[in-house]
Amino acid sequence: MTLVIFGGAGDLARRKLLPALYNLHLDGVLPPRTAIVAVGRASLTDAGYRSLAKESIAQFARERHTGAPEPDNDGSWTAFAESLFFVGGSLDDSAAYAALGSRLDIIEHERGLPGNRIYYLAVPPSMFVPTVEQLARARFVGAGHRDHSADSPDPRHPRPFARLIVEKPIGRDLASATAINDAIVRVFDERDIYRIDHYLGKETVQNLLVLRFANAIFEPLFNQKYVDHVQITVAESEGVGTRASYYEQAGAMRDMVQNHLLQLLALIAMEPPHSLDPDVVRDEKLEVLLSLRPIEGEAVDAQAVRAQYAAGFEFGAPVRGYLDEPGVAADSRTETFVALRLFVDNWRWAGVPFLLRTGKRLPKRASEITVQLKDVPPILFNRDPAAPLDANALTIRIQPDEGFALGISSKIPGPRVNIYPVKMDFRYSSTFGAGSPEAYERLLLDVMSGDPTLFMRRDEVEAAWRWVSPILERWSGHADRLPTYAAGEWGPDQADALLRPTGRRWRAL
Amino acid sequence: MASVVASRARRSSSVERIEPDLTALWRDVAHDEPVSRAVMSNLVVFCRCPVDTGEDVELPHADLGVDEVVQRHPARVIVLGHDPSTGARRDRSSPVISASVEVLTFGTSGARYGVEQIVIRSACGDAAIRSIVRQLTLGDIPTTVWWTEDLSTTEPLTPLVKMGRQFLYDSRCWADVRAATLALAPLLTDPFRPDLADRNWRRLAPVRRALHFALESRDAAHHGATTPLRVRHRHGETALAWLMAGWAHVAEHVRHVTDRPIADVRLEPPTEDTRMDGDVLTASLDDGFRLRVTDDRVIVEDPVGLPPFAVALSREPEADAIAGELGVLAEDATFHQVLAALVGHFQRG
Repeated sequence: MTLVIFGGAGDLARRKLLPALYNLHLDGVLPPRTAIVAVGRASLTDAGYRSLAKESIAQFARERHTGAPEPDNDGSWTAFAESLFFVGGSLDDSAAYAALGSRLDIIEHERGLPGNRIYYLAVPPSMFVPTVEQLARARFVGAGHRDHSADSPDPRHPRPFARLIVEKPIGRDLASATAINDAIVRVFDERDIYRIDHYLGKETVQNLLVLRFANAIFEPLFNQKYVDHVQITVAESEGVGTRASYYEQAGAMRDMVQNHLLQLLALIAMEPPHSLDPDVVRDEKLEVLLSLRPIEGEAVDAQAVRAQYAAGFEFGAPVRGYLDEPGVAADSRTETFVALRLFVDNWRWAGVPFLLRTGKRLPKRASEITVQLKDVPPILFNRDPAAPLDANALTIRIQPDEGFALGISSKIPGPRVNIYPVKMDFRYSSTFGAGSPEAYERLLLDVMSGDPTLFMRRDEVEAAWRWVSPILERWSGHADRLPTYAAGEWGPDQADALLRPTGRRWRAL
Repeated sequence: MASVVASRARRSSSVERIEPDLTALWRDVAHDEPVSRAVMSNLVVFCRCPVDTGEDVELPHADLGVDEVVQRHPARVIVLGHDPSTGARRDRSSPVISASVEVLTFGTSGARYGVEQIVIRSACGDAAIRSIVRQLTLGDIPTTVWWTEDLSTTEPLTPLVKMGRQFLYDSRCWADVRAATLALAPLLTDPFRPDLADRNWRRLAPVRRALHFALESRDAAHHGATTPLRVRHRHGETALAWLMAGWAHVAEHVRHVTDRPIADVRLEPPTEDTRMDGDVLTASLDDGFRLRVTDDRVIVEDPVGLPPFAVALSREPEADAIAGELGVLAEDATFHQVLAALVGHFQRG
């Protein structure tokens, strides 16, 4: 199998893809003789790229393996390095694809590979369509490749496959997402397109379905009869950093809500699928997205909050505000924080608020889903309105410290009935020992094995865009300055005000 | 006193490495035999620590008995050494002078449990301190801020205090009751205030019960004249005396024993008395009623009520008292009323 990474010397490849591939190599799960061919504008030889990869892996690989590139006592690194290649060229230059094709043929011939290829678009979204069109023009896809509409004439000798991995964001609105999807499905079959949302590769997210459908205790409670509300928070402590040019065009709604948060929401709210077939699971997720009550017009002002971080502190040190970040326009109206109060209008979740929140420069990097159950009746132990018992809450921690906790009320040992909120806590690290695989490891392996369950289907992506578009449109029509929050705080006052009339509060993470 | 800690593993850390270092410590501690990680709450222990003292200065949390407290009430302890004065640290390059992590274990094989402790000495300004604590607290458990300083000299950092669900302090150490009480005033009026817990208020519990019992048992015929409850106290018990006076002022169940009040509704300031003959505090009415609090008992003499009686005061270990307070998250409405009454009294001058 050959993995072709467009943007192979870029940030994503260096931070995530190469370390993930190296870990898969150390785990012995990479297909034999796999070739990893990086494509980019840099002037690098194979040797130069291998040095760059070695540095990247040493810097960013998780601490699970003892087989670090240096000193390479067991030869692991040497074996991995021999699978790395670099091809230079501009992605909009057809000559570069001709050169790439020749190089791939040689590499695959030398390594005895049958021509199964995965093309990874680790490039800016603006390059998705041109790259895919160049792939088609250079006949990388199509003739001779597997056609899902007609089985291979000889099942014993299947035609090689050509799969495409696309990073989010796919588009910046419904129209552009549709245009990108239209362009890539003209070249690749939908079943060969893997739209990555790396959150879906996280162990806890995968465990969501197990938690819900492999345990008898939770699923009967997951409905409007018992659930008071659901909170989903994806918090980042970092600022925009070096990504201003991208982030200025995106903002938190496009960068986080349209994909990560709505995908998490779909997983926590979906109906039980009748099988684990990828399309059955994705059908159920799609149903949730289609059931989201639209937030349009003036409802946007009442149910959605956006803000920008101002100067504040991170771990005691002063940090600058968004407008002072390099590459950010002085009058930028790009939101770095979004809070939403939304509803899933189906039988199961009717009337249950889903409270979503994401932002940059929040107090800590943490993502979690909390399902808070309704209060017990105000009798017996919950009689005192001045001291109500804490409601039970199931908290699913996605990062860091993956695991989940169930908050319950318990009597403190002693002669008096003194009730205290305690938690039953499950942590991956303390239960299973070794660290969980990185999300990209799982996702890359799934693409290699042809399992699209954890990837977004076209209709999911477009349903999510369809839902967020009215909010973005409403916001784009407002010329006012955005509300601000001090860096290191949990968002603006308006986010608290969003919940205050309901008597609910955002949870501290 | 012999240490209650079975083992102690510690390492120096940095702000970025605290969580990984703690994870590594837990792994080390559990290497030879299993240990349960016990945690009921976040316990933020605030200690004043001048920023210009040496980097290796020890914070006083060991003297406060934090080990004993968390043996009884397992918590993620965050000992925060901070200098609330401003200016001196502006030129420091790092907001944190030093950081360390520690895992303490208690119990024996088969029933071993451990708690984690983070010790941070900050060099940042007051406005930034919350950003440090927020990084370190665990989100899905209650947080208590334990203010170990005298509130009359080190006012609470409101943003920090409001992070907690509970604010614990000890008014025994107050040099100036008026100043310290007024420092609490902003917290009393905040709709999202933490529950306030005073270690000293806990001492009054048996005293209040004895007084209540004695007055409740009086014949209604003896409640003719309104009369103030006069509180006297020995040196060093000013705060306790004010709490007593405040309670007598607001305690509905005392005032409404009969349809006529038995005590004047005015808040009568307590008096320090150097001739207390071993008594900690006394409370008296003009009709001869007298309640005496000694170090080990409460003695009540009431010429128009019950025969004299005494109630023993147990000597509650300090760690038990603190852990007891940590275990009660419900707001003590009476205590809040007492504080509000005292604030009102002091604000009126």
